Amino acid sequence: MSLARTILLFEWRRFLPALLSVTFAGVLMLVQLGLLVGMFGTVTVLADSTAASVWITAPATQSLDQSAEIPASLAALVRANADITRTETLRVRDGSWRSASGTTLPVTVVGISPSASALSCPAPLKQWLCALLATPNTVVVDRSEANKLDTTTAGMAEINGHRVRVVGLSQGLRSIGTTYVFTSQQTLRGLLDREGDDVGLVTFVLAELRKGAEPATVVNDLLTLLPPKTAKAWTRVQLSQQSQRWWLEESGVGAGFLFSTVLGLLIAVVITSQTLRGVVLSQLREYATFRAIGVPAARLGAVIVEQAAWIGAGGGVLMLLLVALVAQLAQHFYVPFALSGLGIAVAMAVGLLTAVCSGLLALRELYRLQPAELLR
Amino acid sequence: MTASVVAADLMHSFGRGAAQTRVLHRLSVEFWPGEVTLVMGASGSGKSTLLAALGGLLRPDAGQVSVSGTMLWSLTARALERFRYQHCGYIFQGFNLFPALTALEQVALPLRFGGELKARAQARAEAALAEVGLSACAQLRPSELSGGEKQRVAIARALVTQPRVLFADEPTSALDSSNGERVVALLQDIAHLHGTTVIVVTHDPQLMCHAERVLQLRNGVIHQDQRMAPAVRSPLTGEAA
Repeated sequence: MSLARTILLFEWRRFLPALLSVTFAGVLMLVQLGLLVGMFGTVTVLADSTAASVWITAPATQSLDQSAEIPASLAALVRANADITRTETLRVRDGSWRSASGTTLPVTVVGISPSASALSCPAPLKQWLCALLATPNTVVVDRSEANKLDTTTAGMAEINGHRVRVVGLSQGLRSIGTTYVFTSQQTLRGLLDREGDDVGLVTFVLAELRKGAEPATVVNDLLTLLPPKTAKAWTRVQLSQQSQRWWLEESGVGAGFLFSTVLGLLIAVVITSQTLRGVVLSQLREYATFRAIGVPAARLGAVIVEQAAWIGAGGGVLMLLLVALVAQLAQHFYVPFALSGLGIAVAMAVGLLTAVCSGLLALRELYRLQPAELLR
Repeated sequence: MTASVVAADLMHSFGRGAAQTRVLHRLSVEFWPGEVTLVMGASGSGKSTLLAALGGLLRPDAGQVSVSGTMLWSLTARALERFRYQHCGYIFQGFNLFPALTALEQVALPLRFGGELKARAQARAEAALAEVGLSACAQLRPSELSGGEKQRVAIARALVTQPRVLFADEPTSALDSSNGERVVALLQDIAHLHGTTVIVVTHDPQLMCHAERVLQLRNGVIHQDQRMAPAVRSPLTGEAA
């Protein structure tokens, strides 16, 4: 076993604060990232959960939840593209929910085509809930929103003063921006005030592509086809990413995340380097003896950097375990939490880098060391 | 016989201006192989500074030091490090052992840092530990060793690179008198057996019977250079009869 690891294992208590600081800085970063990605991922849950690869929105749309209405006739125009096999419209309108016991809440009513094979039917409703919505005046809400809406399966409620019945609870259709209530387009029309309702308008036109067609190419073709002042075409991924970016920038949460992550990392660097420095200082005479013998400072420094790297690696593993636990808890409590492999890899790399930088900072003591001081 | 360590006109001061203190003053001295030389003197007489300058650890303000024909203070920093590694051994007042390592690992460490293969370093460390009579303690850590044993591990660590010159700074000051004498007797055995030049800085007059020569320093100059009569020692315990 190397000198670095031997010292590390024998004196693990001394190194523990450094290990924990790297771990917690990583956990802080990943949990924030997970919540952020999870939270903003919910903004686009409507797009992400449908099978449509191409979306048509109003031209000034910055985020999925803020799209103005467009003419329903665009669906026919879009179908002129040879790569598009079918289109469907999706209508999203604000509504006022009132539960049986009187709880009122603003909601977003999503009018879909009530069929499992429909393009507008979100994946979590596909199995049987979409078909149930064919019955007039029925709605589906997400399980995670049921408490807030003060309802449950078979519960009665009112939307805009019209009675509806909850035919089922979905899972995974929660959005941070609003509370979705899913219904059929036919029911939605009934819920809207006659004056404010223009049947010729929809919120989105969704398109399905033939197998093998490239969504980005189709979108480029559609952009030349569609009147630019009336509509804009997106791939599902483009619309999703743009919406999340808009939320990240507009809400200021992105800057907050960056600030607290940098702060967490700085604290980790300070604690880790101070811990390593403390260990180096406590063994300065031993290191000085080897400097006297003629061992170059770089060789001794390698011992400290190796220790730092092990702390980074150990901290990374501990971080993963804790983040996995947090992810489990989040899932249990329906808290949106999402982490990608890339995010985890970056956090591990940052943790390792933090530890190694701390080790390099601690090297100052070693390079300052004069072996002749042992003789005083 | 040719001197192995030669110091010529060493000058060194600490501090600046009015606070400047001269520690070595045109000091010239020679040391021979196979001998233990004690460097004694009151605190501040310059003995530790002399040892540092002789051992390539402190560049003197003026003067030169030659070890085995190499002018130490003409070497580059890296070459001086290499020279120290190849030719010099150091023993300090504190034992300076890593608490995490066994005696065998402590002694093998200089060789491992020098790039020696593990098995070979271990074999040489075992031989060095045997030479200081600590074969039985090879697997013990510093916390399990007595003060005398720790210093003998430190001596084995200094010996393992087979230095031509061994520098020891107050090697017995943390030991009781019998352990102290035993350590110096060991250094004398090493000098005789390997022809090593052993230079020991000490306050302890009891050690004089284990040295071939005693230098008394006063105000940065050699006040007295005394050759000692050979002492009769027990070959087993190393203690003077």
